Amino acid sequence: MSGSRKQGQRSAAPARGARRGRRAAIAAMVIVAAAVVASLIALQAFSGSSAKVPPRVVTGEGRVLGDAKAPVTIIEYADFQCPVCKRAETDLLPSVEKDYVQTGKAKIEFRMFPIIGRESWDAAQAAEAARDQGKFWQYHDALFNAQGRENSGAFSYDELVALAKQVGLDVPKFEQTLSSNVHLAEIQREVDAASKEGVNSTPTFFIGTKMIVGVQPYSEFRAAIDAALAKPQ
Amino acid sequence: MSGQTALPGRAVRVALPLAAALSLAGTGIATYLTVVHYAHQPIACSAIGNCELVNSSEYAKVGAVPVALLGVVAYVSMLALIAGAWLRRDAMLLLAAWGIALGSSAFSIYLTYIELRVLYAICVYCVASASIVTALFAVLSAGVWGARDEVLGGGAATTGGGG
Repeated sequence: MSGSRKQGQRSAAPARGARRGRRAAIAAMVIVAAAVVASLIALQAFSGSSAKVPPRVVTGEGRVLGDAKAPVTIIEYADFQCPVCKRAETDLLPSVEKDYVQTGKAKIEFRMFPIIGRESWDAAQAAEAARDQGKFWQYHDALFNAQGRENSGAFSYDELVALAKQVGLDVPKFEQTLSSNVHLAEIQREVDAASKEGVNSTPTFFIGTKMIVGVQPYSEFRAAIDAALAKPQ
Repeated sequence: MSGQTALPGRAVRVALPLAAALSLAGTGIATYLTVVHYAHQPIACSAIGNCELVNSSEYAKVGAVPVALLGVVAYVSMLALIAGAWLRRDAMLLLAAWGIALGSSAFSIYLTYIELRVLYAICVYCVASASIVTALFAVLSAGVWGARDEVLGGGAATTGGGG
């Protein structure tokens, strides 16, 4: 009897050891899973586009870039927080500006479509405050160059003021305009009108009657602008 | 595989086929979003939410790698482990799939939080994938619980494979 108990104890000991080993393996697996997820989130925190808007080759008046009498108008609906809008500014629009705006064939009109939350609205209002001082395009470029992750503080009040200093705005006047929300209703009206036209994402472009959503190949933009130019004015 | 432990029939009959089907569905969604990302094509999106905004966000990448591609890797890994567990009746492969499902679910919760509270936009494909991965975690958890004796090495059956 006691012999068989001893034998049972001897066989139970390795089983207990195996169980402990498996439990340790499960605990290690849970720790590894947590570490992988934490690393992914941390890595994401450091990702972001460092591309910059190239220097302008033409000047703008208000929110219109180029000659106000240019026959074709390219309307761009954008959000300063939207990464694809930034890609349009860094990769696509410089070619449009060089080939069509600089040559007086087309002008670009920027319209506000803030859809990514609080900081999109604040940036839009700040850009309007810069427009009041005749520096919309300088501030527009500074905003896209300073773009960070969405609603992460890249366009906090302090950052918007710092950008105003950077482009040489009258800062007290800028702050006064920004804090008074004087342009808020105007931007809201613009968003409502755009929604009625079928805009629901950014960037959205209108070239004549053609609507282009997102950053499409330059060939598509050229075809649309050339078609608009070919139409009798 | 040494130390391989046989899975009970219940896990094999119910949990593994269900988990395989869910992994396959998840692989389909993640592959579609990855292809669209690299082809720079617009996402075929329903009227709900704003897929384009979510998938073009800086939160849709980890470094230079799109989150959708990470999804493909996770789903395919789970599918392979589930298939292995199914064919070899191996509890440890089931446990490994559960580990990936655990990490994937946690990351999905974080991404859903970003959609709702940071981007204020919903992507139906992302919501579908988050739901699939949560269901997958639940099913695999049930499978692991059903096979807890085998997983912990206390099960009756210890085989060299098959079963």
